[in-house]
Amino acid sequence: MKRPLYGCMEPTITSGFIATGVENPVTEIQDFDRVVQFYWPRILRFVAASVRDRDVAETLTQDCFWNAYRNRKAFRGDSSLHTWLMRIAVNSVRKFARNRRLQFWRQAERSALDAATLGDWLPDRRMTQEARAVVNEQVQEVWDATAGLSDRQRTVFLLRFMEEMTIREIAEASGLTENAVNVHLFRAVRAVRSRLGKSQ
Amino acid sequence: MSNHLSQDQIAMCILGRSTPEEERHGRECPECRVELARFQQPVSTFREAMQDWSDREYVPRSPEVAVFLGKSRRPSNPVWRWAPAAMAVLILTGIPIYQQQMNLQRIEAEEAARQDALLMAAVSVHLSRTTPAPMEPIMALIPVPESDIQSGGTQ
Repeated sequence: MKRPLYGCMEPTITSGFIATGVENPVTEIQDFDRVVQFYWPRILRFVAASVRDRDVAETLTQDCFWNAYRNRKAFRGDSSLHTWLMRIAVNSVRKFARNRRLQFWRQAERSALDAATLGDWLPDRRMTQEARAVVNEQVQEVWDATAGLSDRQRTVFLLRFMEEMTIREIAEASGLTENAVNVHLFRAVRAVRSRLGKSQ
Repeated sequence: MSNHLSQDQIAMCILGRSTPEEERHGRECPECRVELARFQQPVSTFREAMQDWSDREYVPRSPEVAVFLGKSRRPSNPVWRWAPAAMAVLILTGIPIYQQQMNLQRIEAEEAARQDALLMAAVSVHLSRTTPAPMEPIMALIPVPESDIQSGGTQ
């Protein structure tokens, strides 16, 4: 069952959020609180699937909203709020990956996400043990397959297939051209397909 | 030659960038349909699992949001996190080295001044001589006239 990503009511704060004239910090925070409530899960899952560590994902997600709040005047509404937040998240993940390369001695992730249990979260509780095992296996396969992608390929793959963003939105969020997004996406799909094939 | 979609064509189908013929083939050919489903099914399950996981994760409530928005952030870059420590090490090791250098320079300057003073003294002695230094042993052999002794050598 596919759930519509934009089906639920998106906060209508954007006009107030964009307005540079909002001077009352209490109102601004209340307004921004609604942004956090609505977008936190989306940003968190993208960051978590990118960095594969729950604690790091929570910290980066918080950083992302903090940066968004600090730079709220820079948001002019050229892209959607979701795309703008995602761009901040993509930059945070990129910065984190760059720093992690410097910390190459830190091999073990302290709170690594366990993909084997992600399937347990699926809402259909009537699933048999066998069906659940198949679901867990599928989730694990995709999780492992995306681990082998380059950072850019993983980013565009997650934005397309997990966040269901359009090519244009992905280009805006990642800072790449639409052509580059298409190329990275094509390579990512080929790589994921070949890895999914190996495990079967 | 195979009538089925190639790996690249399947990838294009997945991305929605295939031609109408390829799309129709992907729908009608059972083998190609299986190939497409082999990607689409796990990816769709993965998306749902991740969406469900993130929806159940804790989302900060208003007071917490106000707190974390109000906080000033430490630089998240670990390189910058090490910067104050590196600066402290530089200062702690740099100051003694700097002081040592300054002392050395001061000692060298004093030594040079002392050498200069000695040289100047030697020059003064040399200039104050009434006879050149090589002539002094010869002059010592010449007896001094009595009148010179009585008048103290002055005329």
